[in-house]
Amino acid sequence: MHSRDFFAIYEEMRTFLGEFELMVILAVACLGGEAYGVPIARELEHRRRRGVSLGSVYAALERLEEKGLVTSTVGEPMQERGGRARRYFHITRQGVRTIRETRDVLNGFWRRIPNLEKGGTT
Amino acid sequence: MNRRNPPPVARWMLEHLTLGADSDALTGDVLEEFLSGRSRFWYWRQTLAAIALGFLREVRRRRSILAFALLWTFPVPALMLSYDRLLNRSALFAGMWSMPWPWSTVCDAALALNAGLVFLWIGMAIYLLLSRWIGPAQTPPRVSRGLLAGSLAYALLFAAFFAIPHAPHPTDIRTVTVASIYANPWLGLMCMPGFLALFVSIWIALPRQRRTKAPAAS
Repeated sequence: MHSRDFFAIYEEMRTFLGEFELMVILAVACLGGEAYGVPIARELEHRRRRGVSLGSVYAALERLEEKGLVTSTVGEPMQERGGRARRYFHITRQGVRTIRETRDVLNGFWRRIPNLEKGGTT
Repeated sequence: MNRRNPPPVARWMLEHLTLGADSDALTGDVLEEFLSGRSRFWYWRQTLAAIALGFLREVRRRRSILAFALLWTFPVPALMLSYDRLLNRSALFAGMWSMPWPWSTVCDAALALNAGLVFLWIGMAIYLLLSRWIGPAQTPPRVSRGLLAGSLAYALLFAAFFAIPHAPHPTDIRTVTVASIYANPWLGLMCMPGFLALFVSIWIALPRQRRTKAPAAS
């Protein structure tokens, strides 16, 4: 394998978005400046119509942060949260670029299977 | 009990057993959502999920320790075999084998435990020395705690390993070969006490990876 191929594959794996990660980063994008654990989890529950654990949301956010797709800032400690601060997440430019690319790839697939809604695959 | 108070045991577990750099924010989020009307069952579910996922995240983050512990302890069965053969030939320990049971077994186990501990400490020292070059320095109290916890874990796991019923021991070291040790799942498990103890000791000895406080959100 050519070394350039190896690094291309590695880069692709490093920035690859899993299904749940994609939903989480989209929720962060939807919420704008108010994206912290609680509203992100609510947005996911609303869209997926099923419960989600905050622990899995934070696990996905940590992976997204490692990939450079989101960043985070800490707010002020709040009494109603037992003196704990909120951590706000923001999508980065690379994150915006990645979700646009993912959308284009997925749209390309959906256009190839227009009859899926009717129960067919061709 | 007041509906607005989360279950005290679950709250304690969430606050003290959740690993990870985000544990404070996560704990606050769970409390905030609970106070907005979620049930106690929901709080418990979130607590258990947060602890389990936090542990897995921390293991994933420290996967270099896992890889090192695995590589370091893989030759343990072969080394133990060589060590046992050396002891068997040594005139110094010749008297040990002629002692009445259980003293011969106790001495044999003590020597094996001793060798395992020395191997564990050397592995721990090498990893910590290497990690000093690329990461933050370890503090003596943390290293001492890691050393103590790893040694205790090794002693307990070593005893548990030999207490497992139906394990094929004692093994006749005159006939067993290195290849047959690795081919035998039971004897291959000899790596496990060292592997787990080394992982625990390095994990405890290394400084916790906490996020530095980023600027406050606008």
